[in-house]
Amino acid sequence: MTRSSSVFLVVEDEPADVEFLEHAFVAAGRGDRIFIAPNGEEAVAYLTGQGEKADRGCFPLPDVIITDLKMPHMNGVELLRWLQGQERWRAVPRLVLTSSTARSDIAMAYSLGAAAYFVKPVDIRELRVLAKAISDFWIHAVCPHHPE
Amino acid sequence: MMKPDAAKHSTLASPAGTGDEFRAFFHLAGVGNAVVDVHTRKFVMVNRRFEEITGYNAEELHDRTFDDITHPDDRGRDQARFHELITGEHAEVKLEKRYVRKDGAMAWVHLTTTLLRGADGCPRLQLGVINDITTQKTAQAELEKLQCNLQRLVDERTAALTEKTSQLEGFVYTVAHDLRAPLRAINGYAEFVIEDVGTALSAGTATYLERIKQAARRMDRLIRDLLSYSRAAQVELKLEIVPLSECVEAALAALHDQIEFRNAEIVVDSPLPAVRGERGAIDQVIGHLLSNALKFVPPGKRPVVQVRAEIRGGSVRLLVTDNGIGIRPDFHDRVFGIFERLEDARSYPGTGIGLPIVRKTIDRLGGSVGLQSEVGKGSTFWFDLGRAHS
Repeated sequence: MTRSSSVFLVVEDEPADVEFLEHAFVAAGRGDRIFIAPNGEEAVAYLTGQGEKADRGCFPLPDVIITDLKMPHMNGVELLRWLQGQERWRAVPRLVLTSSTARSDIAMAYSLGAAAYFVKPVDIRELRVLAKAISDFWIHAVCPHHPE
Repeated sequence: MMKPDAAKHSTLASPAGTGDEFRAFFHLAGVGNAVVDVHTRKFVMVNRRFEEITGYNAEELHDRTFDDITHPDDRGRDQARFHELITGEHAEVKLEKRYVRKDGAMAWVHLTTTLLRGADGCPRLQLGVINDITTQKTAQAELEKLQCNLQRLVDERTAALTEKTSQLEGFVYTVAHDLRAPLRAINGYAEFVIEDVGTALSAGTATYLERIKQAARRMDRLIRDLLSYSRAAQVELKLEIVPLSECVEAALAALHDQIEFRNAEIVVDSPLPAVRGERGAIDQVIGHLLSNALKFVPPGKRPVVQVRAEIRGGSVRLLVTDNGIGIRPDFHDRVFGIFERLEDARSYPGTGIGLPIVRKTIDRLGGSVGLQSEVGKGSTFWFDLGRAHS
């Protein structure tokens, strides 16, 4: 049972990185839908349906969450920890996409339930390759919140 | 039981049955000598040195028991050891104890004591040889205090260093994250311009945009290499037994594409011995040495790389020899400097971080690095590490 596209919640505070990532997913050509939260707090608000995010028609639950690590307010590590502590969100696949190559960050991310850890490439062409790989891989995965 | 009668004599009185020789030795000694009646526990006879140690003269001591002049905290232990003598558990007892001198000061002494028994086997007199160790004890206490202060200083400095390291790690993280973000933007938007305007770009503008992208990528490479060096300098290394054969195998596997591309010949003088180091760190070191050996061979020449080891007493030297361009003698020290590049980047791309990482890592593992090289003929880079006996 393969769906045609995925819903990604991208947690990222850097506007240029958001733009490049959206662009890269468009280039991947699956019609994946990308929703942006600029930090962990906004991601929690999105997931728990606060305010306008309660409208799941406009703000669907994501199949996969992609998060940066260093962000204001609630950072990526805190978000991963929050997700791990919530029965409802524990099973949602989450990927880390960050600048950090620190072993401690990598170890921390996986220990907090990240399914994969990616370092942001500088070259946008490499980012397209990465977005395509993510899109292609997760299309085959049955995810907890994907509407049947 | 025969009672000692010395108490009614002067300090020169001696136990019954002893002669002038004994008295002479007793008083001549540079250590304190004392005889105590085991029944009354009072001093029967003492020498001048003992008087000096306790501050009491012989007459005053005749009226005192050894408990009277023993530090209250030491009396219990004193009693227990005395009991061991009486019961015959030990023929002789040695202990350190404190006397309270007549002037109230404390005197540390080392006491060796034994019993004189009568013909019936009953203890009569207790003989003690007393050495004043107050100076030694004071010095020891002073030393302990100094050691304690030193430990405190070490702890404080360690805490300060840990704090600084943590700050440095934070700084490195910021460098990684914050400096690379604008680079992605520069590179990405330049790419967008090229894609959006496409063929409408003049050849010159297209070249400029391409150079902007190249510069951004190079800057990113430099930042990432600086981070690698910083990690090599800081990451915790745990010493273990590392078989060099496995490290070389792993490094060659990682360089497979480069080896294929250059059609290189790699000769490994197997088996290689084991060293004391950390596997991941040594893999990285050998990877850098092999990568350089492949890289610095002129285009069109087939690289031939030889890997061998020498046992040198307690250490092992691993040598990587190439048939590359070689290094001028006056540049031998510079090759290990951060971002030092001795060759044109277009012919031999790279940032020049490999050898600094090699040196830093081997330094931290307690070894050393070096090279022999001749321009036009090739180079041999080596490192020494402690030999492991598996």
